[in-house]
Amino acid sequence: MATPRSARRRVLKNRLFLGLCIAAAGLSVVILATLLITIGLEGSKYLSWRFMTSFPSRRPAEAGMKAAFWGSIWLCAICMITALPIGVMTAILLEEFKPTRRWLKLLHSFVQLNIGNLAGVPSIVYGIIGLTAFVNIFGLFGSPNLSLYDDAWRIRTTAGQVLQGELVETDDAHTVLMSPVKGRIEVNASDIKKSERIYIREHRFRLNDGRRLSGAMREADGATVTLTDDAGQDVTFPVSAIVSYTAPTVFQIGKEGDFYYLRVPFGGSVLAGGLTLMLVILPVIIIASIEALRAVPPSLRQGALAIGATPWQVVQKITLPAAVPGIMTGAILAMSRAIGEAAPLLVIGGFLFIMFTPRNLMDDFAAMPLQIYNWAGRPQEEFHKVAATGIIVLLTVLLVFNAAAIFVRQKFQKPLQ
Amino acid sequence: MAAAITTDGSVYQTRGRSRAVRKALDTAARAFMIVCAVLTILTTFAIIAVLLEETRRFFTMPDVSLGEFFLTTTWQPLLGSEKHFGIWPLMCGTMLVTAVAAALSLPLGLITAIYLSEYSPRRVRAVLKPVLEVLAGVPTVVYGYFALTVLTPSLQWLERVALAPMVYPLLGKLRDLLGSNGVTSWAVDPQTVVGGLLYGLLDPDKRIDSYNALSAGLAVGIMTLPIVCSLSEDALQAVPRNLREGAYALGGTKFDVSTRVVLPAALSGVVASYILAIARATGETMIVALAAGGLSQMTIDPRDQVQTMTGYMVQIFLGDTATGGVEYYSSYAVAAMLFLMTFALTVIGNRVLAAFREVYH
Repeated sequence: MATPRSARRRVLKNRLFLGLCIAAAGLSVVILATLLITIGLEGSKYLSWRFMTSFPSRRPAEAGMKAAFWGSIWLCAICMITALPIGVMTAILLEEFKPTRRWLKLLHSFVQLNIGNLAGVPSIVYGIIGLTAFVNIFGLFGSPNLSLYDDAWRIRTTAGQVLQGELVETDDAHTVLMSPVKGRIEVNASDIKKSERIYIREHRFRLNDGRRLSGAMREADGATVTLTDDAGQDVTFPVSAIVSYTAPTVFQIGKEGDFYYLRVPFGGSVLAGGLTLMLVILPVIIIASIEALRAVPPSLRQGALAIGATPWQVVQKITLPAAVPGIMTGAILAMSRAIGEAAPLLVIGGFLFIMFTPRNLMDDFAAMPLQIYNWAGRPQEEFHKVAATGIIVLLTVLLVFNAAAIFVRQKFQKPLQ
Repeated sequence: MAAAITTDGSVYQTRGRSRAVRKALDTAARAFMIVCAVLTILTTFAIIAVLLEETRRFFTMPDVSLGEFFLTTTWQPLLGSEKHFGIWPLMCGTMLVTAVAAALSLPLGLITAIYLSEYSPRRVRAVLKPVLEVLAGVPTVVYGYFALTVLTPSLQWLERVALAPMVYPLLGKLRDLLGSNGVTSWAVDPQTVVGGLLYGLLDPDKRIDSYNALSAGLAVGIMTLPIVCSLSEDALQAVPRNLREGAYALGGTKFDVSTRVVLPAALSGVVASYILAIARATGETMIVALAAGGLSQMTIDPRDQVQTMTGYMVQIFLGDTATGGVEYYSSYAVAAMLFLMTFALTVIGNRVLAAFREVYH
């Protein structure tokens, strides 16, 4: 079928193709070089130690990424502490305890396939799951994002009254609260016995026509109240129609500022962010751990089983220690994926102009990729330079992670026969 | 307590556990592992359940209908008094960016993979492999920055010096030619949806927007290049040596062997790498959020600003859109579409890959 082709032409074709190959391969080198050089040139202007120790600012020369850097470290730590045990344990179950029964085998292969597919889910979709599962905890405990009562306070007066409402203003002389039912409440500073910030999870009203309404507050001016119910519909009614009103607060341990402060639902906190990143990197860690476990020679397991070890003892004493370098390498690389991930965090918390580093799991957070996104998206040219400086910091952190991964691989990976 | 003698002759005590304790530990460990595995299964079901539930809620809202969502071509949830939810402009934006990315990364990735697998000397490989690994490890927000501040200005410069004076007039001529006769004029009729797409693409007076699908797509292409390259290379390397040696024995050049023997044998692996790369490009968020713009429109012109499905989600979650509004829930419907598309692509890609591995491993 083939027509004879002259050897010269075929050799020439080969040469040409080699040229094309070298050009294609060279292009990726050129792209990387361009990327690094531009970032280096653009970012060098604001690169200094001050950049690491100052908070974001409206002025490019004063902007820094202290909050973002520490936010990323917190996120990464939470993500690792949760993802590592879950991922490794799942991998051990899948690789070391292969089922023998028929339907369990089916389930096993389904889970294994599923993990590969989960790794392909866009990270922004994980952000949406994080929003529902961690920020709101499926709405089981009410919504933490209350449009009007974002800043609700409860004040106990010396007269024994308990007042609660949105904080309108406060100074040395008096404090003004806005209550949906009572309208504007003014308290003299001298009458305040105790005041605390509260998170209201739901506003519940009973009206004189027998209706029971609950939902998030949209608007309240002391005369009428507008409520957004669970179906997303706004309901307006006059204050005079209210028979009873309660506002249960969210479950919380400690108060804001305590290092152990915890509340449910988590809201857009660093904990919710870290757990969402955990979802993103879990498939990566599981796949890496399975590969590492697979590389352990079966003869080691058989030897241990032969001298009477239980399957779990084999894992604990033989397989897992042998696979640790591989697992660690995979975990560090997964961590570098987590630290560069912006999309899911954007869904969880959005970009916040944050002037502090997290003190506890419930604090709002900034993160390096989010901060870079914000700077790069601004119209001013100067902020693009600041973004480049941020990228230098981010890439340096990634470089450290990857160097650690290589070190772990070289140092601990013993050849096993 | 039990004693054991080590290899150097010393004796040490080991904590002997009774059979019952060992069994209990075994069961506990197994239970914990099962809990962990169940968690990963639950993640999948949670994704599906949440997207389904919130999408259902979106479609029960007053301004929305399934027909409008799938059949109309205006996506205008925020501006204007009348809200429109036709998914096609967002799909169009996503597909345009993905197409540009694929046009860059699929051929380039395959050629680089062939080079790495068949041609490259060891020294070149030692440089090229790390370069590709670094490209794979760069966070996508960095590529977004690169697209916005390097690619777009470069493309605009290229347009000024070469494209606008030399290529664009040809586009206009082609459009006039197509429009001038009765047979093909429907293809460039600006009044219809399909004709409008080509009419816009062949517009000689349009210029590259400061946000455009081209630079975003190129950056996404750079991001997916290492995926195509490493998966394709794995596929090419999996082809047995004796096939190559047979072809060389018949007098084939490296080009003949690579393209006529190795590549056909590895084809399904290469196809899998393509599918997985396209899935990644479809779901890419930060690059398009930075460089592609925020205007949802029906266009196949890469010079235009587009909004992708992911770009829209970013706009909603980043903006001041009230939680619980119809715009807010529309992002769930978009997310569900995106999930369906990428999940289907990933499942198909992994299936093809698994089938390929069956053959050669």
